[in-house]
Amino acid sequence: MSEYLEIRNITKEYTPGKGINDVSFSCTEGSFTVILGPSGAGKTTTLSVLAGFLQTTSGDIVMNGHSIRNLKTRERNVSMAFEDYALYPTHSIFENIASPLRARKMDNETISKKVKAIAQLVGIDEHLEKFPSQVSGGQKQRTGLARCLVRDADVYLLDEPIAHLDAKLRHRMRGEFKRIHKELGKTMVYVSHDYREALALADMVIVMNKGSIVQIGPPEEVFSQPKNTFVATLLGDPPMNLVQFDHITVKNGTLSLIGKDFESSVKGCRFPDMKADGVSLGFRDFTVELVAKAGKNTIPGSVYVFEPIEDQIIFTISIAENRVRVRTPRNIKFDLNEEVHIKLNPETIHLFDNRSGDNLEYREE
Amino acid sequence: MGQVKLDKVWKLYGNFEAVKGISLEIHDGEFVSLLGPSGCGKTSTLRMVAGLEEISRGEAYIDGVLINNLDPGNRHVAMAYESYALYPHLNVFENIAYPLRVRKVPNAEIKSRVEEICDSLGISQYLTDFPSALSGGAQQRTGLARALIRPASVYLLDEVLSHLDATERTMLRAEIRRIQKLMDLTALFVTHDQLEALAMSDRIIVMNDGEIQQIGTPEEIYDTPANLFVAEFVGEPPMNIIRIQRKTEDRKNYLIVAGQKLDTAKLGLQWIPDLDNFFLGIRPKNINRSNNGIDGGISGQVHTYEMLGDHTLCSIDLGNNDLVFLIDTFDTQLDLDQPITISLTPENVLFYDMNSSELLHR
Repeated sequence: MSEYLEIRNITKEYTPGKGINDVSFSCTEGSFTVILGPSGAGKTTTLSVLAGFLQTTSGDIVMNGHSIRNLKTRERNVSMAFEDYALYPTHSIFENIASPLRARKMDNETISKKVKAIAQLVGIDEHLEKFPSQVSGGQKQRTGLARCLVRDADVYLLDEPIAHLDAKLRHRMRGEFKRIHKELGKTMVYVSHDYREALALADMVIVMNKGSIVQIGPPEEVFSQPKNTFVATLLGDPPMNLVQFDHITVKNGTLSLIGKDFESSVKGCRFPDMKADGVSLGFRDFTVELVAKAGKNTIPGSVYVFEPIEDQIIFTISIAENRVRVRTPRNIKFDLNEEVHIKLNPETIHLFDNRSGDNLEYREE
Repeated sequence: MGQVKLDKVWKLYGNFEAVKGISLEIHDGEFVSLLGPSGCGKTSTLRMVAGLEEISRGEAYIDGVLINNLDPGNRHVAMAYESYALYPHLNVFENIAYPLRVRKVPNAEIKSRVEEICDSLGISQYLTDFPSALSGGAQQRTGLARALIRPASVYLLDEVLSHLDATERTMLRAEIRRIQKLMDLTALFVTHDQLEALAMSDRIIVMNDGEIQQIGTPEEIYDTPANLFVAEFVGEPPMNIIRIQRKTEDRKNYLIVAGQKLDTAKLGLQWIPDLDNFFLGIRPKNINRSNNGIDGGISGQVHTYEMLGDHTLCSIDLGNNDLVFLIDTFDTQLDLDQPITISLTPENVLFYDMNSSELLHR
């Protein structure tokens, strides 16, 4: 598929510490891109630059082969949904959704048909006669979403469109969003701080932090091959476990971990031969096992606490100064302060540089 | 010692019945959660034990002593609050020391006890700071330290994790449970968060509408909810509740699920209620994807499909927008609207009465 929307080295300078720096990515036609990051990452700024609300300091935006950098918002044929809804308080829900169509002087019958169809798609069709002040925050947000989607645009820009729904409805809408995208078949760029939305919805995830892109990849890749500890801990609940070691070596697939009080080794690793100081071992809570005795590929620890959650148990394990979380089936029993061993899976562990946070596998020679 | 007993306790606010004659017991060294939505009567119950609300009717005992007419100070309870309730003009040390100062404990002992409790709650570095300078998490740790510093029969914890961000909440949740176990404290914890209740408790008391819905261990509450309220309140995503019609033909029992006729023998069910209509309850984790055409399968279409890292969450449309959710491992990709057959793990199937919404037993 061809690149439909290309963002080339966009920099937007505001006051120091704000804005975005040298952001480049591209979206294929009809794809779903999620920009994921914490607050202050530059996600909304990136979206506002795409929409034309903000002028770029440098760089270019190319849509369908043409630069749109110098086009005004309404010349770009993009449609945006705002996190803070931005509804007209004096208009009914119907008229709020209809407003982009009225501006384009569509006839009443077409407007009515389009508004009703999109309202049904986002689940706001029962409230069309009400005014924004008469509906809940979640319903306002869905109204904003419907207004964004009702008109035919080349690209839809969605800024945290389900962030203000309550937890149950948010889960429901997250699932429905994929259907909405499939139904409309349009290119969408979606901003979120919730890793679940990125994993569930995206064809491509753009992870941002402090105004810059940290990693770009399909959902499975950013989840299972994080470029650094920022990405490793941004995705996942609980986030990826990190255990600090003074020194590590890898030789012929055997990783030797040397900590303050103990040494361990893991055989059958994919890592190239290396020696490094100040390294964190990373692993996710569901990729390891808890065992009573030291053995192949284990590291020792003690039980800090354990918490039954649904049909599983989450053990918090102390390893020297580090605390890690391990998820086990319900039949695994260890007591507080009991010595245990974490059996690592050589295929799903990662090594990160303590100082830079970089994944050692991505390190450029 | 640390025992609490409530015997048919009521809380009335004028004509409004906030707590409707509940009875419960908390044993020595137990961590018990009062779990329910807002307005269910859990906080009123806690406040009656604390002595902050009068007991309208019924009797309450702590360590065998009737407490109905005792002042809060004489009940031998310590409490930590949702809103921290710290003294803004006192630093962290003095906030925590306050209950000991009131009791005229010598200075040297105060110092060593404050330092000890701060160490176990990880706030030793804040002793000279004032509450306004602290994060929400550090403020709540200070509030907990102030509650835990003095000996009490029962520690009462009122939504103490509610105002914290997700990371803080998970950390403090684990730490409270660890301290309670190590110090062998008796605790009554009020929460609206089912995950907190499951993670922290020895036993959970689920409340709704002023009444106790179920008392049990986290496993019992999760595995066999006593009624539809508990079934839908505990677990995320909630249990699937499917409307069932029973039909008997040629002495064989069939279940009609979303218009599909299923043979109970092929579903593997050992028992079904002797009713024409009822609900079937099954957790999303106990539904399996099976190959098309399998006996005992229920067919539908993939409505939504989300890969969430360690698992996938999928909703299946059984027809007429009757959705069931299922949780699976993170591997095969499914397409929207793809036909799919699902099967239920028979030992995890529960039945509920349509009128009373109670769990139906054999």
